[in-house]
Amino acid sequence: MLGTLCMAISSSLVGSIVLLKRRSLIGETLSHAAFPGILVGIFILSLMSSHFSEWMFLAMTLGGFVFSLLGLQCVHWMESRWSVKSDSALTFILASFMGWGILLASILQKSYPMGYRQSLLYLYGQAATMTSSQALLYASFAFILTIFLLLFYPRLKLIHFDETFANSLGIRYKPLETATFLLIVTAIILGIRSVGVVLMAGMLIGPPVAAKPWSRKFSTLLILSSFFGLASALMGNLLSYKLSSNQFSLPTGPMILLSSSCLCILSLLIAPRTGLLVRLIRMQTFRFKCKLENGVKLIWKKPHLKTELSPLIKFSMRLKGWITKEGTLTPKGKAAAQKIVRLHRLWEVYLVEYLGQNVEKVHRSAEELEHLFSPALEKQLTLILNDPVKDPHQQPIPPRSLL
Amino acid sequence: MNHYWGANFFEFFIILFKRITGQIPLSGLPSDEVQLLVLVAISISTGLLGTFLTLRKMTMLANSLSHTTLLGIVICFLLTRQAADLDLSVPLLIFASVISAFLTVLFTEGVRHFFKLQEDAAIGLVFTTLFALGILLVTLYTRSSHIGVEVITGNIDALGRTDTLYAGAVAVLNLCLTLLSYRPWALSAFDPQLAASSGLKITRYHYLQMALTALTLVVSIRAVGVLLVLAFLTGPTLIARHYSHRLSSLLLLTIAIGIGFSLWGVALSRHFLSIHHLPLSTGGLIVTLLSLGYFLSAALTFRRSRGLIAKNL
Repeated sequence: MLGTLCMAISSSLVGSIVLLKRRSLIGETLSHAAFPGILVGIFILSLMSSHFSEWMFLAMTLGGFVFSLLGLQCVHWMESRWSVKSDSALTFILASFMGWGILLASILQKSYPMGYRQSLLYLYGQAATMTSSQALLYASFAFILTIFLLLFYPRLKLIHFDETFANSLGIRYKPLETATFLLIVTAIILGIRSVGVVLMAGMLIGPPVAAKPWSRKFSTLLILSSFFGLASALMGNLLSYKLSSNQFSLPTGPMILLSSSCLCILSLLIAPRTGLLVRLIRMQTFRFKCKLENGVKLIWKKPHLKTELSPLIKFSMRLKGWITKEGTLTPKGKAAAQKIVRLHRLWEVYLVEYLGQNVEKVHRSAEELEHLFSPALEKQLTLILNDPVKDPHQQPIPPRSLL
Repeated sequence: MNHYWGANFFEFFIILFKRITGQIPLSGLPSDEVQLLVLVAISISTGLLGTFLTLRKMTMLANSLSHTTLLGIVICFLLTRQAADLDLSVPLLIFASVISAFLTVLFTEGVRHFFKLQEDAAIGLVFTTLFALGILLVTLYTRSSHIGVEVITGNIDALGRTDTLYAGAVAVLNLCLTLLSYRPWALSAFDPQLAASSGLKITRYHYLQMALTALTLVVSIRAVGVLLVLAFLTGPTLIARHYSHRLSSLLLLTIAIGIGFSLWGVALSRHFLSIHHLPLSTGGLIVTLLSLGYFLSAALTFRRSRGLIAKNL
């Protein structure tokens, strides 16, 4: 439990860094690359001593770490020296390391079945079988990672957002980048024990993606994403604990990942500014506002015409106090209508005089522009146009004093 | 009766040669030849598709498809409930692959479009979620993780005659469709804007390619598993581009390299079994050889290739 929480925090922290660098899928490759390392760790251990069970965990972690780093280095070489595009490099390294892993596994399966079974734990992860000493180790790793991030926060920010500027300040790029990658690898190694090789990539992606729309600053992104990571780990643990019964047990790793994805989708739906729902609502409100304003304009222009407005529009006009029960305009409604008409005609004047548009064509543009209203905009237009009284179609513009 | 029993690396090739030339009667199909045939078919399919996928920088989407196939299999199992535990029968798999490929591409595009997410994050988010769902359902309904391991590692020894037929059919399908749509695929791989402006339906070809990829993945699952097939998709192309500057020769070379490494791998695996009594995973062996081959050839020749293909890979 503690182990998964620490894992969630550390992976969300480094996940936000790779997300910003647009390298989210590197986690996928590195976690797969760690798999043969785990097997090599077991292999070496089985050659060295016969009472290995205490050291097994350490050997696996160490082996995974080394191979993950090796995988990273290979990707780097392929991209920089042999000019391979990043996606092919990532996929190729992922698959070939997995190939080595499976080859080793087939050797191990015969010579040392117990180690083989241990290594399979890492493939899909098993948080439940973690011992307390292992959890403590994870906690300390996560702690070190956080401390490192805090210490080097300003520099990290600089090199990841503005490399050239960082260089000009004399900050050495290389060591810090290496350190960042070491962190990423550490977080991945911490994670694969509890969620498995395959799902690790998701732990690096989910929480930061969930946090991104809520934050504009790097620091808030880090804090929020570790919060989301923590929340999903808690949720996953709780769900797998509560929902499991005698007949079946829900694995913790996939539950954590699923809760992180749910949080992510929820966050992407309701986040301010960029959330899908928020954008939809904003769009609908604007459309409704346009309908409302067009309606009031219509009544103002042709008060005797029996206009067919939808009940909803009429109702909200009543709510705003624009029309009376019989459907005639109140003074307030009149002012509103005049305001819109004034803006419409001002826009027409502006379009003709300043943008040189054809008089016949401006009506349509103005029809859309009239809804983008702010008092400052109206003031500015009046000022630029010297408060005209007639629009290009020779119709009177309602004066300001009436508004 | 397996003629290859007890053969070492060189004897393997001698026996194979004798079999092909008819000196040993062609009765029955020993497991080594079944493996070889399936692997050759897979090499043809992956060689053709892999070249275009690497050129279009879409191998990560293939990776994501290979993971989500698990979910497709589980869903099919839940729908049909035909066996007590999951079995990887081929018609079921084909249905599963089509479902999962469709879902994956749809979700990934949807997440990118509606949530305005960057591409790498969208791919990662979708496939890990679907994969987690797959594992969850597997453990819920079958209570065995055996199937999951087999999906990843493949089980080349369980291949049968029908696998040869399916893999061959997919290879022929790939070959035909590549020949038919060679020009549009080539154009959209090198210059998508030009392809779009000259009136090609790029999305249609995109979905065709994805469907073919899913099919190829599926026939490869039993042989080499979902992850190693990715090495088949990228490895031969990456090696071939060191020696080729033309798309047509790149394709042929890629296929040849794939077949060559498959032969080598199967022979070596037999060698280890007969001489050292060590049953190695043939898929793992081939991929290991492939990666070694790539690094060797890259180290030897990386300065030579400077063509359009080199720039696009």
